[in-house]
Amino acid sequence: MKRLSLFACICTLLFSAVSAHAIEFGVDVASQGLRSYTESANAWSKSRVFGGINLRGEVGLNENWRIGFGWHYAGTDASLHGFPTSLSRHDLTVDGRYRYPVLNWLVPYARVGVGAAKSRLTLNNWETTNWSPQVQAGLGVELLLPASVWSKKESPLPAFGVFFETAWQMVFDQDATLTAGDTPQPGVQSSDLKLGTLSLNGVMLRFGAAVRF
Amino acid sequence: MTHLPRATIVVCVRFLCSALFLGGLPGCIDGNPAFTRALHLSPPVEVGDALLFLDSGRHRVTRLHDSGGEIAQDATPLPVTPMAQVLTPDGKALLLLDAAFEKGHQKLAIFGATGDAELLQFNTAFSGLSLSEDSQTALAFHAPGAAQTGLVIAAELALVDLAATPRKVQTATIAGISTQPLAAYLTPPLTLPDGTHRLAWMETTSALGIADFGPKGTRTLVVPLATAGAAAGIVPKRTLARVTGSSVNLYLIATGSNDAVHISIDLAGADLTVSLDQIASGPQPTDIALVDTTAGLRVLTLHAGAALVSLLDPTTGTGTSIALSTQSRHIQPYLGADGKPHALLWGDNLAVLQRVDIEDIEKKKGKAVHDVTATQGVSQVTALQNQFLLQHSGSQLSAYDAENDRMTALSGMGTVKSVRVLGGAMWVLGAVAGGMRLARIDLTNLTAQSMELSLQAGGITAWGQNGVALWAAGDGSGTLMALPTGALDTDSAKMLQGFALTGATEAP
Repeated sequence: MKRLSLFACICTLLFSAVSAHAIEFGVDVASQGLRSYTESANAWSKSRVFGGINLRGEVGLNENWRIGFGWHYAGTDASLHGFPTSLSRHDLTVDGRYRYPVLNWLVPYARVGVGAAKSRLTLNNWETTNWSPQVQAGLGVELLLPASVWSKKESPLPAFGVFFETAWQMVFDQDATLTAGDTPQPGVQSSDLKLGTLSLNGVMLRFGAAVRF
Repeated sequence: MTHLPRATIVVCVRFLCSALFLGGLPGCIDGNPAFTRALHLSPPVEVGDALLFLDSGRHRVTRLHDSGGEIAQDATPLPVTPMAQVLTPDGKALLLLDAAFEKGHQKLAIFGATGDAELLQFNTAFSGLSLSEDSQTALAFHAPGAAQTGLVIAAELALVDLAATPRKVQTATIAGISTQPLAAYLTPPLTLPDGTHRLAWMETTSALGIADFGPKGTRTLVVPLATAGAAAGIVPKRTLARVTGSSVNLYLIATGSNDAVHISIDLAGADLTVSLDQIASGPQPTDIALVDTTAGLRVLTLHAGAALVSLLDPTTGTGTSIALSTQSRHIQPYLGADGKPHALLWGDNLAVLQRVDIEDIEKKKGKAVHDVTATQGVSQVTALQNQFLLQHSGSQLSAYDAENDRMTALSGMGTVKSVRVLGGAMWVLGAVAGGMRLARIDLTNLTAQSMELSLQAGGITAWGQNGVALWAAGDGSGTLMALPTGALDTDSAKMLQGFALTGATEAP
């Protein structure tokens, strides 16, 4: 009940803020990847690069501030000491973006996000799925093509553009203890495989298309 | 509306990612070989109550042990690339000789049951190791056929005192030995008025090199091996040692000799004194055993070519030879329930064995030898007190009760891969159609239990004080299944899969 009340309060504050201004929305579709610098990342990907796709929606709070929600998926297959491995991640992020339009088509911005990362790790017939917190902070730039460029009249059409962002992402340590999918001897319980921990910290890049309403 | 195939989307996304990261971050492909090199897991070595698995791929030693009924594991670095390894007879230490000879040194790693290694250094690149029966000393020497990289002086030996703290290394070079030794051995310790001595001997073609490691240093000599009937040199085949007072007595058979050679080395004087006797034993002895009878020490020799067994008195040089019904090649001596010495004689792939009552040979001659018939040819014999486990050429098993002269065929084991006697039972691992089978045979009544295994086990080992374990290391990841020895019971079994991968994603 307390959680519902808290959620209602946040929604009320959010929509109060939005209603005070003209509501602006945005959608990003991007290629996103993380180049991690941890050793454990190297165990799951030879290049330490975890690339994937990112979808993000945002709503404007005022001329400069946007609050957004993003989903990111990344997957990689590799080999650990000759054993096939895979890692797939789903990141959910709530972020705040401060945009500083220099021109109506050139918009640098800063973004800070927090969220959770769900990772599924497999090695042979072992697997595990874990959640862990993640944070990210970065700088980017939007190159927009506003409707005013091709129309002198007030246009209801959105602005289209591309953006490029670089950030630091930290995915907190995840326990890489894998459970056997089956035991080689029926009736005998097998212990888990304790590979260690998975830590993914590094440079995150996002590059994609943006639509701003 | 036409939908893009999923594969096309995946390719596009990956292309975008590749362009972004490979173009934008040159040099980011830096796979760490610590995560990519293959695992090479050795069969386990039983050190104390623990099992040590050597992983030469990752240079790591994984130690598994029983901890309150659970399988516990830890790992330590493997500081050497083993070219020779020996386990002390008491099972308390594993010695690994490094293949590398760097900066004028070769390393010897000594692992205890805790999995920690102690390192010693030699100034010479040895290639072979042997141990004394009391597990107190080790001998490093230049073994034949080993590829050595460093300085090789064939006549050099190094004695390692494993009981001393810190460990002590003594080296000796036996002047007069110029060829690579065939083997090298150590005697038990001799306590003389000036302290404890250890005698090492090195076998070469036509000569034995002797080194006495005493408290005042090392004395060496060479004993030429030549017989009247052998124009060419003779090659030692098997040597047994007995310590008597201040003397070491070596009893030796050799290719190219029809004698058993008795070499006595007295260590009491200022110089080593040697006497050599040749005891006519019969043509081309193939095996030798020392037997304590009521009349004193006797030497039992077997002559496969002539199908003879001889009992020799090394003091008088006399002996008794008895014809055998088959060309038995191996001697398995044992002490009977009557307290008297006996022996089981057997030959490779021969179905007829002989049981010999050694005390009766001189009086009863041929009546002291009894033929024992097995169902198939025998390829290996394992002594189990007064019983013997016979492995047949067709991978079948039989148990022979020597006291009651009873042979029991043990069928249904499949193709035998591994056999161990643990907890009063014989454990047999066999390959059967579609998998493997583990059998437990109670040695008191020869009743058997068995279970089918999906696990592709490589062998059987002891597990702690009261357990038996099956291990698999074929794929390098390592699997261990531990059971109590009391019964074949999967309910109380524990399994640890992939133990070589434990901690594999941690920073190396």
